[in-house]
Amino acid sequence: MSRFQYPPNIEIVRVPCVSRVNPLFILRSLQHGADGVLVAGCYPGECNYSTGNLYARRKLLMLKSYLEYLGLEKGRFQCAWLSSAEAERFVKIAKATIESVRKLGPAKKLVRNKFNRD
Amino acid sequence: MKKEDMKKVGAIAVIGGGVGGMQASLDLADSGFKVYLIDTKPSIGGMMSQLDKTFPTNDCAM
Amino acid sequence: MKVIRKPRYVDPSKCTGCGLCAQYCPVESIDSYNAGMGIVPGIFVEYQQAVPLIYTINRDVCIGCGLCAQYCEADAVDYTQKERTDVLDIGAVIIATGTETYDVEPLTEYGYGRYRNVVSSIEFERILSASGPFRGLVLRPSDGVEPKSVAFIQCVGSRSLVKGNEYCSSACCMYAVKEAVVAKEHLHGLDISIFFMDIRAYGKDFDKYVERAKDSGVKFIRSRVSNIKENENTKDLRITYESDDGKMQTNTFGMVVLSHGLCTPPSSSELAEKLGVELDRFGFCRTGEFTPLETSQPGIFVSGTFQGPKDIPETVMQSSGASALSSELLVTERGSLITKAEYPPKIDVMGIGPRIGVFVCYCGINIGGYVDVPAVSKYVESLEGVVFVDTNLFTCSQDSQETIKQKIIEHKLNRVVVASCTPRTHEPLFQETCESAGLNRYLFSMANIRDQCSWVHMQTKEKATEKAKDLVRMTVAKARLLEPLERLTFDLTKRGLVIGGGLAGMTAALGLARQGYETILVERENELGGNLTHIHYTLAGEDVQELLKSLRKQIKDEPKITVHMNSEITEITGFIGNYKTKIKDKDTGKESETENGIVIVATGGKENKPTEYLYGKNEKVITQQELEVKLALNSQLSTPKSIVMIQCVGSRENEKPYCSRYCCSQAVKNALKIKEKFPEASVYVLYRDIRTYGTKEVYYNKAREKGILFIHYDEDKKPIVTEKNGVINVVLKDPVLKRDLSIDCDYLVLSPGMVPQEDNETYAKMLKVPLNQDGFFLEAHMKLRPVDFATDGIYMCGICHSPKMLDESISQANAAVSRACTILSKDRIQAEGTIAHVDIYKCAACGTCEAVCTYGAVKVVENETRTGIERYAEVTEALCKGCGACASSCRMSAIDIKGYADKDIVAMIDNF
Repeated sequence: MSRFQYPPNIEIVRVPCVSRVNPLFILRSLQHGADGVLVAGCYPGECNYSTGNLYARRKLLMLKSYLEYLGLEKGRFQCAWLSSAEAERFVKIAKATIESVRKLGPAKKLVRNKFNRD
Repeated sequence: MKKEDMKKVGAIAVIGGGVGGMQASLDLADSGFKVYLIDTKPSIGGMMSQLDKTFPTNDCAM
Repeated sequence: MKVIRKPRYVDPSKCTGCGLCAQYCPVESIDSYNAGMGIVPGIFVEYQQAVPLIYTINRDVCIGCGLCAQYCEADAVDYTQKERTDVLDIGAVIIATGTETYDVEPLTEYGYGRYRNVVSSIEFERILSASGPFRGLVLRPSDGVEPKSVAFIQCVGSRSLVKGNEYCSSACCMYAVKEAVVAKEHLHGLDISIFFMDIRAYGKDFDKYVERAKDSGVKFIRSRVSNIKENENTKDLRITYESDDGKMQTNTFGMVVLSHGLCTPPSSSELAEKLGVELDRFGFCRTGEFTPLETSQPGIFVSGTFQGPKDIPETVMQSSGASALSSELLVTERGSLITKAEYPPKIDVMGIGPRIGVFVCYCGINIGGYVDVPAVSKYVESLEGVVFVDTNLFTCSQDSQETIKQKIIEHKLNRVVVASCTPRTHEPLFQETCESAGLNRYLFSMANIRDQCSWVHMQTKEKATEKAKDLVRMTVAKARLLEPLERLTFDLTKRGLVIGGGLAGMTAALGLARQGYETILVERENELGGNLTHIHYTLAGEDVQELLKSLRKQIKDEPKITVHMNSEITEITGFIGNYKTKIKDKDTGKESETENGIVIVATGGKENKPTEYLYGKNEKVITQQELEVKLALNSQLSTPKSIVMIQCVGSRENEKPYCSRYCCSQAVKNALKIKEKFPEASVYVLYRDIRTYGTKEVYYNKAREKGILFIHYDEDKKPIVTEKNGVINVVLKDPVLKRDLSIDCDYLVLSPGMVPQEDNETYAKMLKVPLNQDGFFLEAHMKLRPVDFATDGIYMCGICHSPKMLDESISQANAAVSRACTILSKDRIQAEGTIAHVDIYKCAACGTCEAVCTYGAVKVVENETRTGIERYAEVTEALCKGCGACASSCRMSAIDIKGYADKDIVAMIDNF
């Protein structure tokens, strides 16, 4: 949008609402070798579908603590609230996420070999 | 032209493309009427597009 | 109607909004969107999200250098465009021209224009915006430093007989508090003081917002500031004011924001003159007390701030209302000028493997300049399922659409992927193109390699190209699995149901009937009227009982309305377009059943009964409603010598923290009436804030001129009411004299505000719609959808939404009619395509999906299936919005969203 630059290490999967994000998707991403997963949704109260983001918040917070319990390094899975008009904030979050994941190095913990790409 | 001779036209002109004009246009179009939305500016949105957030929900105005 | 169309000098059918021209334009002009605080190039769009996203040349600053035309890859710049006059045939007009901000510069005492750190509120709004001149940082204009403190001055140019307009601009109190709250969010620790006369937080949840602002540290100082002085060295501003204890105080602030009022711009007055529409003495459009949307010209309607100062929800309600009234005139012509889109027969893609066509866009140089488009295309050719790849300079242009159509047919493509910009710009366009080639629109998908790639990775072209390849690969993986989706259509019953026969209910019923729809009106009392039966006159002196009589007659005479008096609704089942309603006559017990397509809730509210100030214990202590009846009927009031009115009784405190909006105006109305009948009587109004907003402010002035005394009291220092020898005595601390004031009075009149009806809860459960914390119905969106419920097909109007004035109920009722007509006017109702679907044999009927669905679109039911009687979740397609909350909550993976199915998303993840 406003063309703020950020590193190209983020691939984007489009969903109608953050409530569509099944915790299993995040798990699958990590199994596939994603070094980090970022979930971004609208601010509480601004959900296009009213309360979708609130349900997502509960689910994903639980998932977060569960993943940490499983041994996943803190910082690989991140969630953020965002408004679609806040280009600069998205870039800030994207940059911060890429940085913190970069510091953690390549992910090893949940990667499944049979999914390894060449 | 006599008033009785004038045929009704199924189109409505909405003057002003701010949030009010937009809402009126959408309702009318959804109800089966042609709408001419007229504004002096090059884009719609009016004063509300200049607002950062709106009360009491603190929603982003855009 | 003759409309002069000014030239953009840009061809809208060619411009793609890419912005290249603006980058090369050598001239600048003042950015009026940013309230004059920035500059824009000579060829510009107002802001990035502008609709339409077509650039315009500012002729006044253009030097004709030709650079924009030279660099435009779409060949869209056209210097030869001329002004032209179009003649439009129209049946009605709605004027929604809005307002402008009051020019505060002439008010020299505030220093605007002289002191750099005194800004207007619209300028401050732009300062706070992320897209504004300081990118959302709170900085002072004089030195670009963060201020430590900011002062807001209210009522600048409003509520003034001398400097400005007499009326109240209605929105400034709330927008100032909002700006204060947002400023504190942006700059932690910022000290904010708001200097006010009354805080007019009269709307739904407004008081709560103000209380939260107070809790977060915003200071509210009840004092009118007379002037501001600048410290020449620091450029700080000094405000001297009289504080509560009568002492003069001086505070220094880093910045001052002037909350300017709203007024009619000269362009609107000129327009009014051209259309023969009369204005009132304030410059707003003149409308009737009971016809707030009708101008003096038949066929021309008005809405929004041109009708009078108001906030956004009120504007939206009035605009929908104006739609209803204008379309009512033209009911016979409904649909006559609508062109239906024609599509060729659909290609059957079942059973055939995916044949994916990928179109990679250069977007001029927006993508092509940073992503190696030929490399991406070559790579895409190698992907499984892809049978055709093409590149376009601008995939969104008209001729590209033709090319895509051609290729779909030529190569028998059954899936299409466009790798270009964000779906928000052109997804519908591309979907239409697919449909016009015979391909179901849901077989189309987009990969964003511009906004999320080329535009944001400009410095790393190789990595950007790699990422573009990744993104297209992911989208192709999803495209392989896409299925054609039908948007199911349903029949609908073209009949409306209105619950409640008060002002709002009657207005809504008449509106629906006049739009041509049969309407059932259900009223639980013996007669129609609701609260109207207790109201006799308005502030402007209009006869309310005449209105009531007229409405009752109109309802009786309207053949399309069936009234069920003395009745209640026992059951409503179904969904939008297909409701079944059971109505019971309370006397006879007889039940009747009807079918309707929409429901309008107009159950109203009622005056609260006070529990303090001796109400109920002394017959001279009455409510405003009771007073009005006595005043109207003349006989019941013996000549009083002294009357005391207390506002906010049981309101804006404890369990009822909301403001009932009308009580201040009602008190002023009745106080003026008392003075009219008994000129010698002393009238005292004890208040916390006087909320005579909008043009009602002039009556507040009139009341004070007539000698009615208004005395302020604080929430924690309430008046004390006692009775001695049959005489009522009121004691309160006078804020100016700092001494106790003791007033003996013949009548004590209380304003207790309104409460929602008790049966709101019953209807809420019946319709499965929510109530807010105060018991009023909760709308889909407080600002933008003030008459809709989140569930489609059900609407609300009147006091059941929140307490309001008569003309506001009328506007809202008309708005509900307009919204309802968007459904009733359709031949069939169409559901969304990307909706939830249940595999009933996987479903465990746990009910989680039902619990998380905001729209009430999925329910657990019990039915006969091929394996016997089963319990499973069933989706009401008409109500589903496809948000996905159910699908991600389902532990059995039984419910999924078509178009965003688990397999689709997983395909994207697997291929990143």
